[in-house]
Amino acid sequence: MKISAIIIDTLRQTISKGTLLFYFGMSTITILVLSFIFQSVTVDGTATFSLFGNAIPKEIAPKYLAWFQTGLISAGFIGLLLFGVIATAGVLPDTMTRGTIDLYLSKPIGRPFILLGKYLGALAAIALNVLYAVGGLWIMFGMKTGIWSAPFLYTFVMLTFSYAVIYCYIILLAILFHSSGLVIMLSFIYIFIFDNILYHRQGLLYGFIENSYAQKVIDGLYYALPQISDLQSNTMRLISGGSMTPGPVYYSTASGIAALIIAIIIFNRKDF
Amino acid sequence: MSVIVTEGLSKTYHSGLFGRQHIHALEPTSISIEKGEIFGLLGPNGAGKTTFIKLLLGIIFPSSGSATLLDRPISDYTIKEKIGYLPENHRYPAYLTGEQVLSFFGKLSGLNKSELGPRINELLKIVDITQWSRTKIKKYSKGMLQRIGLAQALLNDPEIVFLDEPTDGVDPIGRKEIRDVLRRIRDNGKTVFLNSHLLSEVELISDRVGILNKGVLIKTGSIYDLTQNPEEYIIKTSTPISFEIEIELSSNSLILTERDHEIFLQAGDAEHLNKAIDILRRHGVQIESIIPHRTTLEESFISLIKSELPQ
Repeated sequence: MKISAIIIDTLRQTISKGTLLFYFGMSTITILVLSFIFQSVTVDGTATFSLFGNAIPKEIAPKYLAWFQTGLISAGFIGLLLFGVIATAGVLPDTMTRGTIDLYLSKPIGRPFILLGKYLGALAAIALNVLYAVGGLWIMFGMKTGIWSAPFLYTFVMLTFSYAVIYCYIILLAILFHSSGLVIMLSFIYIFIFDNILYHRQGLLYGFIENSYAQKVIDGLYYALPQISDLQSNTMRLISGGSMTPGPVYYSTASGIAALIIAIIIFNRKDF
Repeated sequence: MSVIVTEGLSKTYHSGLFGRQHIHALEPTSISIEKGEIFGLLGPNGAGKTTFIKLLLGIIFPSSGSATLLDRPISDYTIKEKIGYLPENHRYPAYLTGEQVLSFFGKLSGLNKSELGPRINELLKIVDITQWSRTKIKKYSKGMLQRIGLAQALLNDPEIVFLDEPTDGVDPIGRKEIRDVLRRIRDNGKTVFLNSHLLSEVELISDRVGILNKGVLIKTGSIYDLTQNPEEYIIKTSTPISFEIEIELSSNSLILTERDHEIFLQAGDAEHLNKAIDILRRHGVQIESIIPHRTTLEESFISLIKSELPQ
């Protein structure tokens, strides 16, 4: 009951911020715009769809749709993730302000449960929005094309999972710095720059970093930190009918759990 | 029965490079607070009053010493099921209504759904804010926030209530109502621990007070103990005191000031007081009353704090 109260309150907190409503609005606009681009048509008596007015032959329609969905996720995966970060980065710093955290800590609930409640609440808020965006797109694609491509729904799982991993780090950074602005900035730097460099480390870095120890350190960082680019690639592979490589999921899970455990340990010993 | 016991409880903050700078927010403090009393903790700003409460509630951790609440160590967070707390400058989620705030913190306090509704309605009535219960907190005035804060602190019918500046921003009628609520809590056998800058407020309501200065608990005692000045008496007479009597009293080391048939006499002890009475009676002065002179809590407080200042 106590932890569920925190989860529900965190959902309210994120909705009150307005960012999630913006997220919701943007998802709705995207679905509406795409519903105008995709139109149901009949070619030689066979139902298929048209894209920008060009009818797609039925034989290649599933492949064409998968290609479009992969492109959409290639462009939108990181964007949706970053929106999630912006919408929820303030959850913990707001809770840790003087006068608020005192109230939480004066109640008969262990500190780890407060943190977990906040974590799960923010995760639930983002999961609902991602479900709306991905589910809405999936229904729109299905209705317009007649192709109910189940692999597209993996996007919901992978995106929510990626957010869950990143949010473990956001929690840790929020406890260390108490600043949502700094947390957003560091998350953006990691996702846009650091993660990309680590993902392309062999092509980008190892050409001029020949020292094997340095390469091992960089490899270590790659495996120790969330592998967002790999998770995005996995999602795209799944949508296009391929199989995913489980490594990034395992490493990212371990990385997120480790970050959350460190966050709980620090939060448990912190004076407020 | 002691419900709050501390033994050498202290807090030192470390700051600066490598934490080499030490700030002693609370020096080792031992105190015992009894069940069913209103205890007021007084002290100037930065004296360590809030630090003391935060230590007891596990919001910060002690540097040394130990403490128990209701015979259980403060490290046991389940004890907070029987504790209520109104922090200073509390901030409730602005997106919630007053009723939702109480519901949320009630759930965190361990109340179940069936208990919550009636308890919230009862408390909203007690703090007189029922008509605002469905208004968002962000629209509340300071006084209304204090009222909802007090209701929040009382949600779980606590055995001990910690209140940090509970009447801050509340109008005089509201203050009187809050005092009445606190007295009612005390009369029901609960303990109230009060932090306040408002000495007159504390004087009106507290059974015992502690005075904290620069992290050191310099005095504890009842209001009576702290405000009594055993060496001074007010002797009320029906006739004015002649100059001759004044001279005689002064020559017997009985220092006095006189005003409108009242003698403020510094007698030192009972023997000197009786001597003064003898002198007055010998001169045929009619004595109407002899009252030990009491100082106000504010006077005692200032005098104690000043005596602690380095000369």
